[in-house]
Amino acid sequence: MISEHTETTEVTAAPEQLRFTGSGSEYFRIWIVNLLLTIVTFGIYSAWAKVRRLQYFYRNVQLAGSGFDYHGRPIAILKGRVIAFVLFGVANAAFDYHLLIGLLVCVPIAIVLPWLLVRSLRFRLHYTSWRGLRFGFDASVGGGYRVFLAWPLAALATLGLLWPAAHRELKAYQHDHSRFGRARFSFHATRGAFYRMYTIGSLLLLVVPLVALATSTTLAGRLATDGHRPPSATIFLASVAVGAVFYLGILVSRLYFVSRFQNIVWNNTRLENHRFSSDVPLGALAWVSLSNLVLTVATLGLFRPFAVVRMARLRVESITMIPSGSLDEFVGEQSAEVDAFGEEVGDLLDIDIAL
Amino acid sequence: MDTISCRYFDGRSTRPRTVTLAVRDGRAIVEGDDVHREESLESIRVSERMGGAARLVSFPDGGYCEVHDQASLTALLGATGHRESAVARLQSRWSLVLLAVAACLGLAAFTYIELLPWAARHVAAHIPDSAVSAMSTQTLALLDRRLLEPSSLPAATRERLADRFGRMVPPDGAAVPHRVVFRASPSLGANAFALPSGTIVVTDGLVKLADDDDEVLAVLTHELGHVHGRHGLRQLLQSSVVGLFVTWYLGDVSSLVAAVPAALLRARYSRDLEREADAYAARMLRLNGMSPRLLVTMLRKLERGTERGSASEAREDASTGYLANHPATGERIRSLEQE
Repeated sequence: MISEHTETTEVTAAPEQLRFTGSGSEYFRIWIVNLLLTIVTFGIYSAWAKVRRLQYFYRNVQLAGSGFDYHGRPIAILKGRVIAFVLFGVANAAFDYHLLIGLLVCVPIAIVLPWLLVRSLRFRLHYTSWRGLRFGFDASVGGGYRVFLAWPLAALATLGLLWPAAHRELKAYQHDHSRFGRARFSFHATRGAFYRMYTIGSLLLLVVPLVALATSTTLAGRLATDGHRPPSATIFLASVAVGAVFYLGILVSRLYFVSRFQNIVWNNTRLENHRFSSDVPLGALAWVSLSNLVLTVATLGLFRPFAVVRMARLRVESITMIPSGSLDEFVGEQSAEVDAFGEEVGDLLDIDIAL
Repeated sequence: MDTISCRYFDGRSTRPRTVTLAVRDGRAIVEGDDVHREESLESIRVSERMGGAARLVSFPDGGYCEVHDQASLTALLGATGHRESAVARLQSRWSLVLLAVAACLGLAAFTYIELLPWAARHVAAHIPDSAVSAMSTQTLALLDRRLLEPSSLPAATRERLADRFGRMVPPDGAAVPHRVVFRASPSLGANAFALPSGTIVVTDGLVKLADDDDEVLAVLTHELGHVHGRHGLRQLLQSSVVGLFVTWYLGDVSSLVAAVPAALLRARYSRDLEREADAYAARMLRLNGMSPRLLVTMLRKLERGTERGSASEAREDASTGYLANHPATGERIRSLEQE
């Protein structure tokens, strides 16, 4: 491609670990002000809140001494939100009116959804920059229908057997068509890696309920041999224990999935000849997740901004860029603005396609 | 005036240039490695302070200075008369932040205590009767398959109770359409509950627990209170909203942990509804020349029954009965006795 460093092959440069410089107490202040203003403006401020939140996180992610930046404009986001809100309101009202009419309304929505999600990816990257150079996403909409509609349908038809492949195709679609300035990203993870990840994840999820079942039968057996009805406190404790074991399984499987997924994606993504490596430490991830949960519940939710910052720090700082040459040589160009509609629909549907 | 050393990016490449930033005669001046720019202050944008992150001084063409030296920049901005946005000032003052915390907590409490019950009452009142009765028919059919069996009470007893209850005058001059049905249920024990459509299910166990018809009627007035206030629907709406919110808020986490705070938050709502139904029952009993103490007696008996473990807590969410609320029974008896 055009950037100079591709011609000078394999200039060794020091690995650059991503740094996260945000702090919980700083983000807490942004978060609480965002929350209050969003409530008192009946949600209108949420567009401005989103920009401030993303700017805080982007600017505090540092690569080679420079932060990232977010350039989305609140008014564009607000427009997107209003349209998305109306759209879902219509769908909801249609369902309330009659199930059949609701389903009829959903068909066109399902048909335009992939297109919206493509726009969402485009918006997000277009308004992201590092050192003043914008990222970009230029995939065909047809490819979007393939990964957002055809693959998921195929996965559904095969009862999930094809889902790991579908997931891999989705990430490949995202990363193969992303660029930074004029430099292109590429994605090299195999379907095998995704199948291995899902197999281990489901095994963790399956083994633990079996353990829980064994525990409960043992307990029940012991109580039955006592010959009289066990006191309700014992039953309560036993069910809590079984529930806790179940929960542990879900938690372990989830943690494994979060860390493994990030690692697979970033270990197999390249920017021209620059590589990345990701190694999310499972122990630290477990600690941060659990303590975040406990503290968030115990503080009536006020710990949440601290929790978000802790998790962001852990996950961001697990990524290192391994440059094949200087990071000062990327070049780019100005491009047209992108509207925020797709992004906001994605947000409303809670589709996280960011990482 | 002082100059600030920083890095300049031209917006077209990632090459950093070490420069100094200064303000002279109302113009910003950037000087350093092959860079010399002068721009009027009006055309320049300064990014908001975002904690310790570098602040960006941007020019209209996309070039910008990345300033890590926050103290010097703040001094420079102060000297040029730059005003931070109102939101940025709000965020930077802890006293205002604490005020925001208090305001948010206050609003959350207000929503939970006043707004949501109010909204649930209004929404419940506007749910079409056809939807309500369809829902209730389904629930009763489900209960009949799973938990309930045909009543083994003599038909005469059932008819007498239904007939006497049908002739009682409802309070507030508002007739509440209802239907009393009798069922046996080993798993529910002595119990009664109302479905939102007005179907009141009484178990054989409850009728046997009562010493006379009046005590059964007292329980029925309480259930009619639930029907009158559309409590089943309100509880369903409030619980759904609380559940959705808690799950969303603890999002990342798991539904199991989210279930605990959600259950705690819901408990208050069901307590409130029980109290409302108790008050309705007391009014109705007195209106018909009966004593609210009848309900107290029944509550006591039911509470003893629960302690013996003769009744299980299996209940449909859409119905409101006695057993889910037994921890508050003592309090309910006290407030009924004051009626």
